[in-house]
Amino acid sequence: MTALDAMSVYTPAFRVPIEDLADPLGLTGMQVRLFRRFHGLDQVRFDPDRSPAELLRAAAEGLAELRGQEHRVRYVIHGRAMPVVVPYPHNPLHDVCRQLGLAHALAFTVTQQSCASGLLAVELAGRLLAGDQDDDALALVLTGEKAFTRHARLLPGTSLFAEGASACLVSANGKRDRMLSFVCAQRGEFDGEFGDREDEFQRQYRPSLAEVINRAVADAGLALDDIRLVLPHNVNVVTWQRLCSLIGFPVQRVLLSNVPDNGHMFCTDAFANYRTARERDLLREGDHYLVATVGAGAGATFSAMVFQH
Amino acid sequence: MRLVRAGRRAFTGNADVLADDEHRAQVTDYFADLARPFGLAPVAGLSGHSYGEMAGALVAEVVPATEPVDLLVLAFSIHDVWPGRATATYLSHLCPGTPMSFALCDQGSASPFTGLRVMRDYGVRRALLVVVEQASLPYESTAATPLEHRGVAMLYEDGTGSRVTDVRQYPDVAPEAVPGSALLAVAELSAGHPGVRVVLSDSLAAVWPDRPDHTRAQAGQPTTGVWWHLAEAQEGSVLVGDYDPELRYLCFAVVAAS
Repeated sequence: MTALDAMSVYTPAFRVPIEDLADPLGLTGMQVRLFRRFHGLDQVRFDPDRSPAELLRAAAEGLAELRGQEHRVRYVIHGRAMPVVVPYPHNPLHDVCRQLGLAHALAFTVTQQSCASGLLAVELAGRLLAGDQDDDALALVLTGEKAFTRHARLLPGTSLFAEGASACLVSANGKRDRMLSFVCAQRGEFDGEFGDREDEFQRQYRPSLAEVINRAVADAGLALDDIRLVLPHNVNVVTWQRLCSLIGFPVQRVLLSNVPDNGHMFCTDAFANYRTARERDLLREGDHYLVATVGAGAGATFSAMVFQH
Repeated sequence: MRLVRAGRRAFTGNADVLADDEHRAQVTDYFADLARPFGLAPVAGLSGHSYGEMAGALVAEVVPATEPVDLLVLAFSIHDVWPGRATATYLSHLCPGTPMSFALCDQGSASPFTGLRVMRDYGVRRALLVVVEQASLPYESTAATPLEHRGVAMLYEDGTGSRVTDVRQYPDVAPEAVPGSALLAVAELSAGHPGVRVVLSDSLAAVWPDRPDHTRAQAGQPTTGVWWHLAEAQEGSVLVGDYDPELRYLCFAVVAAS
């Protein structure tokens, strides 16, 4: 069973109050106030001194459990929201692999599920490891990317992107944080080619997210009440408050404290929220928790994953 | 998995979406922000193709409505001219079956082989691999670009049948180590498949002096080259091999008549 053996998260210390983003992003005072008062955003993390490769490396170098185990890593998978982040043929992922002594691993990026690509990377890692003849093999799942252009800094009317990174060692048979289920639903009809369907997307956002959450819980053989904690994507606070009303789940059991502290760190939110949950001792042995995210942009992907800690 | 149908197509001109002024302006800004930290300037006159348009045409050609797909993998190396688009998610809506869809990239010519491997490990009933490359970069670059915009789509089904697929991937192979690894891989993958036709990329042939008799994929199509030939060969056994000299991946796949 796919398991998260170890995890490291890098969050830059440098933070910008959302008011400081008004000019660069062309936001009105009203839009900024909406982000703060309604969506619960406060500050956004950036690391202007680190390149995309350096961002990934910062996370991987914090993964003490990787040291001495490099030879077991067969796969390195970068789960990335933005499909194109550097000029061709620059390749930050392979640069990092060489620096970490992982040139022997099969390394690639999985993308085009927007911010849901991080959970997909975990799922893919599990599939590849299950199909590997070496029971001892590991996969390293990386997330992290730069908010380098307007499209990668602003989700209009919804959220502000931040920079951060994570590194996660995945095994096929580990005993910690075992993945019990994964559900993914894609809605390509919200691609821009089919016209402006923003209103329809907003109407369907929470019901669609609720559906994958309920299916993931059921596939894990559980009821929603069995979920100790939800680790959300940090899109904003109000989305989760309303979602909790919709599915009848106490919002107090959704870890939302990183929304004002971090901003929305693309695919890294789930891992950063896991770290916070551990730091605050919110998960006990045997607890079930759910990770959920929506990859929104051109098209939408709704994903949920249930783990046992 | 057995390969049940394949299609290939070259595309001319530019992506239709570039004719839209608003979209063109957004994409121009995106690429300018992308290139600036690397000291690269945008080129005047945005050109190139969109993988959504290319893959969409191939999906329509290869997947009939009566054969719903469970998994769609889009594999590419050079990026397209709609950089922020979740193209695979878009394709999920176009493709019969509304399959789980994602893209694999940043792996040079190894990406399509990884796509096959992933499809095998998912073990779904029906999976579609779409391999695409387009020939234009929107910023100053000395990188070689493909000669043509090309795409190949391959529809695979699970279970026994007339054609089965095997995949081997060897990371971090130095050019001087290619002949030894390649010889062994071809021998193992050819075993039991008499008359297998070997298709090699030009980059693999260039570092393998004692290579076996083979069909050479067209130079200048680094990602689609060998798959272009596979899509053409509907009979007999075919073994395709590729080597990415920059990322040092040596890859093989065999589609064998049983």
